[in-house]
Amino acid sequence: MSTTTTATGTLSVGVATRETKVKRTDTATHWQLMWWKFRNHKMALLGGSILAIMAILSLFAEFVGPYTPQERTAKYAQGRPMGFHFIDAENSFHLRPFVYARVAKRNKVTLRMETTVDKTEMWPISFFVRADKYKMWGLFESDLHLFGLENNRHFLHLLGTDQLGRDMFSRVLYATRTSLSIGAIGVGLAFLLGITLGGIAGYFGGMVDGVIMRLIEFIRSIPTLPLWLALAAALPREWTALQVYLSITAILALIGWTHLARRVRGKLLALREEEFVLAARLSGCSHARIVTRHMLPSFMSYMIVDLTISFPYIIMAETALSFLGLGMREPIVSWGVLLYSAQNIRSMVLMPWLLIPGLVVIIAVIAFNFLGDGMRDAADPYTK
Amino acid sequence: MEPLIKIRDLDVTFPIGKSGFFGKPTAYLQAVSGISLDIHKRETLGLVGESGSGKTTLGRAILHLEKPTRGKVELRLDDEYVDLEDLNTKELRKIWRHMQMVFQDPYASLNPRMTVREIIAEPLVVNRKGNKNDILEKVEKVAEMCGLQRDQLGRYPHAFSGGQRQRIAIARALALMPQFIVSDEPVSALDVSIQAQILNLFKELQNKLGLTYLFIAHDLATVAHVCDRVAVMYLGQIVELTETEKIFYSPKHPYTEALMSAIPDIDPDRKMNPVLSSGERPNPANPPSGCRFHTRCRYVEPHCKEVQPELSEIVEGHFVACHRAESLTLQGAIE
Repeated sequence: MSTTTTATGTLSVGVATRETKVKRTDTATHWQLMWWKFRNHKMALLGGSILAIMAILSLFAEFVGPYTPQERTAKYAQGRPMGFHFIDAENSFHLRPFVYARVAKRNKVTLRMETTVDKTEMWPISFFVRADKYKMWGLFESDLHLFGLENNRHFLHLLGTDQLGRDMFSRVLYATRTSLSIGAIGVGLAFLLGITLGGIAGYFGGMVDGVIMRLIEFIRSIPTLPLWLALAAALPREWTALQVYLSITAILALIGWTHLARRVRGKLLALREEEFVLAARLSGCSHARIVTRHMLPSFMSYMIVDLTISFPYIIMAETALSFLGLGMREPIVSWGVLLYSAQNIRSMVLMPWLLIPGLVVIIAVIAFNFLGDGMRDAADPYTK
Repeated sequence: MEPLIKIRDLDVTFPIGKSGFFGKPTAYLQAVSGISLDIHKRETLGLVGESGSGKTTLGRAILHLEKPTRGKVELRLDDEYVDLEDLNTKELRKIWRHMQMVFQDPYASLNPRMTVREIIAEPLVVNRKGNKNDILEKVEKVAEMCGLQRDQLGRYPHAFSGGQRQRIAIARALALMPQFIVSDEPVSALDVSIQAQILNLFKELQNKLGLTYLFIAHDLATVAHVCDRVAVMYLGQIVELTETEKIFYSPKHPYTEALMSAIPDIDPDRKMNPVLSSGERPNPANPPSGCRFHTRCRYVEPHCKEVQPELSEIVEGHFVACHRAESLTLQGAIE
């Protein structure tokens, strides 16, 4: 979607007669009209921006996060989130943000390691620091991080650490990547299946249509949660993390496509009788050209809206499965995996920051709903 | 003279009502029933009848957009008749270069995702009529012929009014320079003030290009304005077919008489004297026996309920399907 550039951007002034006056909307493509309408939906824009930021940050999780998800800071296990400051205890301003030093000491009564904030010492945060080595997207090695501490005996945990001393901020970033990508791949697979099977059913009709529709009704009649549980439980335990990841995505998509297939079928059945499709047939268009040039474009925007709305369902499903211990497993981190470790009362009371991934899930789902709302309004740009 | 299009015993049947697991049709609706018709070159043949009488279906069946269940349609091409029944999908696409259609609803017949230029160019592009520049030139020529301006061609259909949209649809139908055009109520969705403009455009194009029209309508004033001959349809059958003047002045079928008496008059002092047909229109899925009009006919006789009348030529060029056509004196629209 390009922004505001139109072929006839010149809004003719003065000499324009009634015939030659061109409104900007007259020559705008469908996607331009949609974008202009979408732009007016502030909440949708907000939702979209939040998701875009999430996606970009998590895409570069290795670079943005100061630690890898498995790296442990043993002396700061179960540590609280560390706030960063610009103004120190003596009220002087530092352009470079810093965190106060943490000192670990064993409590002589409870024998538990306790950390205290040492306000006399500051650990300045540096940007573009060389720190831990990582392999970007598993492709090339680097040790450059967006921010971190120069001194490798110091540590920086903006969202605290978990039971083992792993950095929550970095883990949330990696988890966002996993969960969003499961949503994206799952939605993509569901889209392919839905459009193919729904397309076949709608275009050919008759017997094929009957068979596919009965199949969809069968799948939809199975209660989803037990079905997911059964399918997920059937995955062999010895599978690698990647295999588990892919099969969970496939399982979620296998159930998600039915809704979409029905929509595609219904739309195609209706479009087949539309006058502009008949006109295209009379023009001599082949079946392929009619489908791709006349039918698909006229319901693609609705499909995209549908996909946006079904995105959070897939994310929630993955989170639910992993939370129950049947989806992803360590060492992969997803939102559900992170929440799984926050399941017991003890960690909720002692380490409430472990619930931050839950907050991220809520924000993401709400953002998706706002976005879907705006897109639904924009999908039919011809209505005022 | 040999007719341009010969239609013989055409039937179009639709399955209705489904039951069972995979939906086997339980009943059939005969939308077009045994129609035979000749359409001559350069004439405008009007097709009138109330809604549901099968006008649109007949129009589509002639083009084979809707496959007829029985009968045949032949098009005269280079002094030879081509039977559309014999053609496969690819050959049909080629024959459609000679037969086109203008649809009823200009808001539904133009793809909202294409500019006017793309819409008019599509038949030319698909049929490979020259390179890009040739096609653009042809598009501009045909658009101009239909009263569209060059600077409007880059716009999308939603920027146009109904009348202009219908001009676009006509330009698209004309792009391949066909001989025959089916116009399916092309002005019924337009404002009255615009209707005349579009009708005049049809006439003008016919004079310029020597077109032949099948003009479907339910508005009799429209028919009187543009048609040379008129066929009246009732429940899937043609009941009367003759020159426009005769239809209006001296109808021979009771149904035509009823239609004519329903034309409103603009003179408020003149008393309207409608010859009303009693009763409801019968269900087309279950048409009456004998003459299909007998349930509503004022002149019905026992004979009518049993034997179906044939469409026969009573006077030269005047075809009527009525047992009593020769004995009845019926009232026309204008005395």
